[in-house]
Amino acid sequence: MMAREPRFGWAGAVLLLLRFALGGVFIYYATPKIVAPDLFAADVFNYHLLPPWGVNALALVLPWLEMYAGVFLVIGVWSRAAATLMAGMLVVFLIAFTSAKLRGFDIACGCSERGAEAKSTGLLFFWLRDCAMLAAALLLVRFDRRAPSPLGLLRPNA
Amino acid sequence: MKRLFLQMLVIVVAALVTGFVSNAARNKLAWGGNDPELLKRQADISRISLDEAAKHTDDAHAFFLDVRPRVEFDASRIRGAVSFSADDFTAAYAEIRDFLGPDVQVIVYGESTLPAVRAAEFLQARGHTAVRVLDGGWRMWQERTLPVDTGAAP
Repeated sequence: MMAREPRFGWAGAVLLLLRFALGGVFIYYATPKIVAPDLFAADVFNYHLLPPWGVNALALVLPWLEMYAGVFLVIGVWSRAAATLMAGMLVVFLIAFTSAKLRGFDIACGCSERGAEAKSTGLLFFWLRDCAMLAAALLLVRFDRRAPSPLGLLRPNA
Repeated sequence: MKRLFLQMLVIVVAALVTGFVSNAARNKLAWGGNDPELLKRQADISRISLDEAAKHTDDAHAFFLDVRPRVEFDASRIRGAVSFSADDFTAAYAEIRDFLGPDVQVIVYGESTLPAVRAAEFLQARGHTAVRVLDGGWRMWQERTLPVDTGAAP
């Protein structure tokens, strides 16, 4: 079956907006972690989920994964792949944070705040925020073929 | 579907390469990265919860050690804490070791966990076994508005 040409209707506008919003949030979250991986590593350790050797590896790679996924989503290149990765990350974040809270660790989620700015994150707030982002990511995975590339020159999912 | 997985794989590999290469380039490894022995042992460091530690703020047999830089320590710190700056553990230790008797509990804290763990390692290596790291550190102590001192310490 022939794929339909993407049209910039209201659905396309909504998807484009979602892409900018979700991609922007991921870029915003990734930036401080890339700048200070040591502080992010301490946050990762506070989850008490990974062995010591895994803490550094995750603290070095995860921020860049968030950054690449965010950038790809915003510019509209490989955006379904980026949204799929985001959905996967968000599910992992939900499981990890809920697990830490259930085990009694009163921790900051390590999402964006660093150092003295970090505050303990409430479980309900975390769930609401991550579920909203997860819903956006899944919408993009399912429907983003219809959204145009904001660069104009690039076809979506080229 | 195959193309989608391939694109995801490329993004993941790019993140892996960028993460490790950028880290090597700036020579600033993440948490304890240049101290693999510490990484292996840090999971065994004893910890103390905020609530339990708060009970010891006025305890003459408990010693809070603050591993943050001296300027941050002077601004505010856990009530009764003593500076044990991570900048120079040896010099800081020379000033306090006479107070670390066998019946004294030592509680180490910092802005993040790593310097506190290193301080605990340092003290344990010198025979002080009753050393624990404050879970949540200075950040969570402030968040809970637990007792603090402010201003330059005497």
